Amino acid sequence: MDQTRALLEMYADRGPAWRAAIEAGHDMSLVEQAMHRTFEQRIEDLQRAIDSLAALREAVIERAAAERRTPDATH
Amino acid sequence: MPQRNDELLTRLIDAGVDFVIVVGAAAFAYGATYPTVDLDAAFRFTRENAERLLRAFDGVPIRHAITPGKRPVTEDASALASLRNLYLESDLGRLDLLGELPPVGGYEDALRRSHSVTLHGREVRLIDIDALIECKEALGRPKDVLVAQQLRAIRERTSHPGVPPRGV
Repeated sequence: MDQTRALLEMYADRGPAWRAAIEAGHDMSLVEQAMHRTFEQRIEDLQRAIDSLAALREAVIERAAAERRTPDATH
Repeated sequence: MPQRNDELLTRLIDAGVDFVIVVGAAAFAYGATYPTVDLDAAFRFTRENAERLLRAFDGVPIRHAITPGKRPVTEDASALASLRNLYLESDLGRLDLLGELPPVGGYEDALRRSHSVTLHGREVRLIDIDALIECKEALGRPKDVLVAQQLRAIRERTSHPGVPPRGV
């Protein structure tokens, strides 16, 4: 079963806006999860998301630099 | 450049700056899943508020983020208050201060359509979800359409009996 169908079944009792969001491709289980957090927790989640994405970007940059130094050393 | 939204917000609140959290961070605060890097706020463009803003960045050099060479902010509070928007960059990250938030209106309109939430023991103003949806729909860019879609679903869900919202 694809994700959209699974989500539509999972949230069969929800309203039209929720179903429209699922049909547009949103994974509303993630939204549901976020809605059980407090405002303060969500702001902290955002900071952690920013930090982790920045760390990932830094890792990509470091890997590219390592590949330039020793092209055969990384895979 | 790191983005320290937590420290930016703390500094703004502690300096007594009049602002309302809007756009991307607000959407995330309501439960939308699209992370945003910068911090956007409706800002009261007055000399007094600009003075408080400059105090908030005491010891942290600030630059105009959208100018050639990202020139340092050297204007005084009166000059800053005469601007319509202010796009700032510093070692704490990017802060966009908006004087207008179409179609909601100016700062006072955004304030009227906001509510208070607690962050690290401090009160901060967050634009209400209806106004936020209006903004996103008015912007109409693909990314805003996606966020508006999630926000409409969140609004629908929170108006349903027996369901969160928690904290908003």
